[in-house]
Amino acid sequence: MKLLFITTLLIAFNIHAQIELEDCAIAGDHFGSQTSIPSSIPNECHQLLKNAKTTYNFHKSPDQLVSVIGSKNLLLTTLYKEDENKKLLIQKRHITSGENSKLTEILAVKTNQFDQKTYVLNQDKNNFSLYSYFYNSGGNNVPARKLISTEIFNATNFVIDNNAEEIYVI
Amino acid sequence: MKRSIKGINTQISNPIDIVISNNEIFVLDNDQVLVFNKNDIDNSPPKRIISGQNTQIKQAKYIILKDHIITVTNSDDIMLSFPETAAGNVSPL
Repeated sequence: MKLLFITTLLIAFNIHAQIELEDCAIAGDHFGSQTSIPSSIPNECHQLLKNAKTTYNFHKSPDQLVSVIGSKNLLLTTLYKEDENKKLLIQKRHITSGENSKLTEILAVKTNQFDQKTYVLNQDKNNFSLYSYFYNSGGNNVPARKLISTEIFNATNFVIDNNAEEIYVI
Repeated sequence: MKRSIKGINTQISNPIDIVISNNEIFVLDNDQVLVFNKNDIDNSPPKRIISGQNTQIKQAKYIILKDHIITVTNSDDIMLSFPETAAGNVSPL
């Protein structure tokens, strides 16, 4: 049964080349897994995530632009750098997903240049959590920090107050 | 949790986005912006509200605050700007 499922996915990816965001999310579930295929996420998912833009955020500093897009269980991070003609070039692009990442349904994302991390509001059934990931880390990695609170219900968004070192969740 | 603002007096019903300034919290909620002090707690009413027909806020999606200007983006991507201290049924800048 599992083999059939994997084969179906591979056919969908390779022959039809018509990948839907849902396929990317399924690939995300298996991302980095040593026991199942596919363990990577097709490059086509980058564009699908950009188009979906379920939630996104960016910040620009003098030498870098960081853009993050979240959708389903997938977090796409793109780091740009300006060349001498002020043209933005992609320096690095990666997806964070997979079991270790804890991502299940991303509700909101925020970049935070103060600690070079992306903060993610995630929903797992009725549980709402805040996770953070370093800009440079991707793949099936555990969050750098986790805030799991049973007092957060039906959260939709959040903001980071770096001055007070607080996070407001709505 | 350090503190929370909740209850009928807050007028928070369907919060969509949030921004903060040095001292205030701006909550985009339905077609209005609710402003609270950062140290408000419990069932505090907003200190001011930006809402009404003149504001043109309609099915808003995002709120940003930069250089003391609040910008609200409607679902049709129309952006409406207000002074940070705006209150009531004000027209965008």
